[in-house]
Amino acid sequence: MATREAGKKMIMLKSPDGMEFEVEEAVAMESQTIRKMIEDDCADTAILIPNINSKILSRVIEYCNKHVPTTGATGAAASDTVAPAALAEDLKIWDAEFIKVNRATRFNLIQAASYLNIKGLLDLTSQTTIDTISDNSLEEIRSFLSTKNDYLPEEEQTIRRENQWAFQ
Amino acid sequence: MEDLPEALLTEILKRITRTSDLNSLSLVSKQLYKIEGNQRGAIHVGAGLCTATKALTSLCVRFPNLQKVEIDYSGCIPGHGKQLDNKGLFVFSSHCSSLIDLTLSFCSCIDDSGLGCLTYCKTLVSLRLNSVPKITSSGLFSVAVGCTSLSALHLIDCEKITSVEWLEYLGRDGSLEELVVKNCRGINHYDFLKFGSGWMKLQKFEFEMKRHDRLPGDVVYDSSYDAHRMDIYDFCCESLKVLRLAHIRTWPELGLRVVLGKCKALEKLCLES
Repeated sequence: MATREAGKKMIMLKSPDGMEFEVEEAVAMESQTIRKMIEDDCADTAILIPNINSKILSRVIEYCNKHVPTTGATGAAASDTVAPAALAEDLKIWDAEFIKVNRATRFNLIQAASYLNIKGLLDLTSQTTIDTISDNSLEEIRSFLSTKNDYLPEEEQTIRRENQWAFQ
Repeated sequence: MEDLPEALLTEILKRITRTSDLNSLSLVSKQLYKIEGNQRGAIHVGAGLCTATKALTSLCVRFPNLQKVEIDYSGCIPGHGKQLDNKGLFVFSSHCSSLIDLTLSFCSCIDDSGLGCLTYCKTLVSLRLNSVPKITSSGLFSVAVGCTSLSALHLIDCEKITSVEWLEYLGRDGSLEELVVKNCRGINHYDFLKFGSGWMKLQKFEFEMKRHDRLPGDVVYDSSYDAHRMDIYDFCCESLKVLRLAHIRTWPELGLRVVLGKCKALEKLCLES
């Protein structure tokens, strides 16, 4: 339900497990998917966010809250008054803390970021996954992606041989 | 919820730039092998490449969306180990239907019939030939005629190119925006006057004469020079932004010096003696 609080337009987001989150419209619009719904006037009542449970949705909202360009009393963006470099540095530290989550939560966050189309969150979660791939052995990557090795030993040998020159 | 759907895995894979990471991923499972292969846009191969047609075909099937291919045998001694030949180049040119950018470096087994295969690559925009000793003007002519999307051509250390019909053809019908010719013994700077109306679209031009070919005081004369025929100088190069001329001397004729007075859009000029 769209309500007003301190002059800011509020939007209600609903997770499939029945939780409701009241957020500022500007925060919700960090998601391009929700932005589109609001712009198309599909957001009169609560917006149901399918496939994203309340635990993940609350974290996504936490991310958007931090990343929304804040406005001061005059309406000027805060980044105009605070040094942008300092602000970016602050956000980076915050992001690094934010993404310290277990594997299942991270994958859920990737899916949520993709569905809700939040570029910053998708970049952050993807890059963390790439770093995990870089730092780990084949077996560790397999267990991380919960994938089984479905190669026959000779197939794996063929690919290893091909890879020697396919990845120069 | 525990596993990532294929579309998201693809999304993440697209962001990976380190080849060692891609290498590991292709070994994780068949699904990742396929995703990695599909999203691969560029490949750099050379010594160690298995040149058997079957192996090359399977490589092209593995990476169906290659846009950029670089075949580089620099540092290899010709005759030691099998190099990619015309047949191999045919496999690439006939399978890579999205090929935009091709570089052949130090490929001593490729000649004009190999270049002829490139006419299958209707999407080819950029071709770099670096030390491909067997190719001649006739191979380049088939490229000029067949590769209708070509807009960048680099020729470096290609010794056997002796005439420039291909250049005249490209000047008349091509859409070349970038032309770089370095150390090609058979091409002198007067030849570029035959590029004619092609100069109009050209944005980058670089020409470097082979240094040790020119003794001190030695001057290349244009054999076709005719003092009464000035219409060869009658062309525009209004799009030219980058110009580099090295080791050339034009005297007594005007030659390529004429370009200097014609380019109004020039942003970068480099002249080396």
